[in-house]
Amino acid sequence: MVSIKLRSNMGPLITIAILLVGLLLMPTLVSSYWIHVLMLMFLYGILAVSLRQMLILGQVSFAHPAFMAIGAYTSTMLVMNLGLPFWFTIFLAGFASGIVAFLLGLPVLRLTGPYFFLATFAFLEVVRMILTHYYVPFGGPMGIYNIPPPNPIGPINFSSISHFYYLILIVFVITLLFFYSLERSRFGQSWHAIGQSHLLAESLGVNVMGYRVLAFVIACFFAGVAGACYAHYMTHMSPMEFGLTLSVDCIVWAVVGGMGSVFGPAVGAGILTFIPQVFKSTAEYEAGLSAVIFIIIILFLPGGLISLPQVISRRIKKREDIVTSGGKVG
Amino acid sequence: MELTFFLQTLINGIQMGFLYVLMALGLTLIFGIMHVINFAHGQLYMLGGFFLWWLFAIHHVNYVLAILLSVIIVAAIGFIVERFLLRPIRDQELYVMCMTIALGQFFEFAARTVWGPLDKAIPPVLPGIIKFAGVAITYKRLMAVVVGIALVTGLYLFIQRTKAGLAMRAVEQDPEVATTYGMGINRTYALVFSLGALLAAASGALMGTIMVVNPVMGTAPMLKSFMIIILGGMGSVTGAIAGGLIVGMMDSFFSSLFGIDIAYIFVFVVAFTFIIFKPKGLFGRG
Amino acid sequence: MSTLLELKNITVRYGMAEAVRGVSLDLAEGEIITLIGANGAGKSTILKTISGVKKPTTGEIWFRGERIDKLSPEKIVARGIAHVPERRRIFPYMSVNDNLKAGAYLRKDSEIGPDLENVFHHFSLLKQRLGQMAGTLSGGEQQMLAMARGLMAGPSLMLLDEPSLGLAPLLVMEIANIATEINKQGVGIILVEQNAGLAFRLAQKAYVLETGSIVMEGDTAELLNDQRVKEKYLGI
Repeated sequence: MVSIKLRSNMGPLITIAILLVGLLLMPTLVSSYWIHVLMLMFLYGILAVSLRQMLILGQVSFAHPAFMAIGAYTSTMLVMNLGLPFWFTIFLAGFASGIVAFLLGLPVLRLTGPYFFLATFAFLEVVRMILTHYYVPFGGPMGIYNIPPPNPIGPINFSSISHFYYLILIVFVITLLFFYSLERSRFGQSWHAIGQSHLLAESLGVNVMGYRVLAFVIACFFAGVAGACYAHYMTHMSPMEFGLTLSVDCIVWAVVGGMGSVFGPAVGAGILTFIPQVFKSTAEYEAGLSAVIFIIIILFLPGGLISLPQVISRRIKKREDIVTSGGKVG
Repeated sequence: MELTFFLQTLINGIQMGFLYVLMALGLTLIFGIMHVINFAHGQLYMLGGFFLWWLFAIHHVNYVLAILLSVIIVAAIGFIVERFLLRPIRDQELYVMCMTIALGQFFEFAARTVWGPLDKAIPPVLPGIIKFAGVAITYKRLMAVVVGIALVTGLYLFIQRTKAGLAMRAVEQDPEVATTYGMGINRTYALVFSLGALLAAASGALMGTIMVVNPVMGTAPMLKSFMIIILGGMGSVTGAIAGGLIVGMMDSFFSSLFGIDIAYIFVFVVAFTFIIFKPKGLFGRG
Repeated sequence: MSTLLELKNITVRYGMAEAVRGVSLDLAEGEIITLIGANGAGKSTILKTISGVKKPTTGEIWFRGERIDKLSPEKIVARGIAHVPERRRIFPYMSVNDNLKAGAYLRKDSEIGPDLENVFHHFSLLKQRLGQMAGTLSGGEQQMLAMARGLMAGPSLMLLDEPSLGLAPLLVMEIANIATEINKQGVGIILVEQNAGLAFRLAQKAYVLETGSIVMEGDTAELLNDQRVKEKYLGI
């Protein structure tokens, strides 16, 4: 029994191992332009995977970019104004986002459905407006320039793009590992149960509000960390980058990638960030094309891209059943 | 504050308010009865404006006919969307939301591709200004108010006095019981979504007549409409009317006194406060 | 008397759980039958299956010689089956008048005059409250409105789900009398009740349900003398 189980688990594990090795070798294989694209894929992947924790609960948060911004601006201001090291501020960025998430979450997580979404959307706009309006600490609509890179550790001085690449890759992998173990933990399924029916869960004695707050704080923590990495890599940021477009994108990545697995949103973020880069010439049609793809996926592949192997194998199995049963099934 | 300034701002606020009301009514009906947040609402508004421009400015169709046709076309688009894109996924809230998001993006892309990204002006209709008591309002804006009032009244009568309206109310209040008395959900949802699209298109066509049309004109009014139905109560017709007028006036006064940015933030802060403390809004129920 | 309604071996599942198992029953034209049993015995589910809200997993439902178990609720009410649901479920934000109109939704306006008169004859108090918001009516008044709404559909079969629930005994009597009068006008009734005494008084035939299956059936006159029935359901 045990040996069979091991074998069935090996497939995905081998795929992941190969992917990891490939990713580690990327800086030697491709130009820095594509390294940049990969880094964006990782950062957006962190956003999408962390957002999924809220989507599982059935609460669609439009505020994720706001928390990315909170992390980005926190780290930047602490480094530039107080001289704190990045390795410290990256965590402070996450904590800042987490704390704000906690404070926002207490009144707002009681709400469900459209009320919750609208509250988070209002928050997103308010944050963006504050960052845009106040030049003094935040740099106003033009944002902040000359954000310094992380402090050097030994030979890693961030003079080359590959240093950033490995940093963000590590953060990305840590994020995936975290949410993966969360999903597989004893209480990982509680979130799914609440998402199915929070009323039922509540009647069974589950502390729905507690789980919601926890998910929100965790998700926003990672958004903040991603924001800090983003800021110190891009060296420039403005409030415009943390608006409604990014909110919608995060949701699209999660749904197109597939919410059934922790890796789904990462796949979605990756593919949807990658493809426009490949088809640069058709940039004008990109918006329409991605909308159509989105629609097709919702209608015909609701489990997202990551469910594609399953769907295909089920189709193949169905055909085999028809063949082996002599043309009759069911 | 001078009286004339006050009155002028008030008139402007009411006029804009009615256009907001039309859009918010569509949004609140779709949410109240179908439990769908229509993220494509702003683009339906925009398409209303564009079809009017296309028919009236390009093809020189009579203005009144052009407005009628453009709202009918958009209503038909709404019908097709509901039947083929929303009905299959009706029970999955998250996917419906995503579907309307995708549709909104697609409509915006389509408008931009077919008609280009630039502003289009609608040729003058009813030129001239009427002045009284020191305040001025263009005939165009006055017409928009009149049409707005007419549509709202018509909608009210439709909902309260017709069988279709009765079905809409029944399905909103108890869909399961409604079906056991013959008021089917499929037909009602199709009607509601088309009606919502029609109202958004009317708002867009009127706004286009007053100002300009462009492919991105729908986003800001849609966001404002969300705030309006929160204020008025999601699903409440009275709330949409009251909320639209209130926000129209808040907008007008705050913009004149403090600038557009502050006006924008203020609406959001008010909406946010309502969500936390009075999520049912002013007139919401159940 | 011809058969109005027949259920053949109906099984209904909610997900994996079987709410109703292998239920067969029949009702003749103009008859009143009752389904009694404890909470959760599956009685309401059977009514929902008849009116089309829930589809049976297996089995058949025949109404006037036509098979209806695969039809939508709208088609079923059009054929003359009206469902008066558990807990009344009148439309709370509509007037009494609109609730009645909702009942007659599928019918032509020109036809419903006599039925409206009939409804006012049975439920005189509704006539005075036509403009009142239905949600503000008392429990008993709402029950009457629910039944009146059902009558407005012009049914030949009425499904009454626990009409006595939460009502004072006097009101229960009034409703029982109205139900009898309606039945005398030729409308068949399936009465689901936890109040077995009321059920036995009204119905000619009874089916006793326990955890989704019929454990006893027969003429109410006979069942009244059955020892088990007396102990378990009549509290004697």
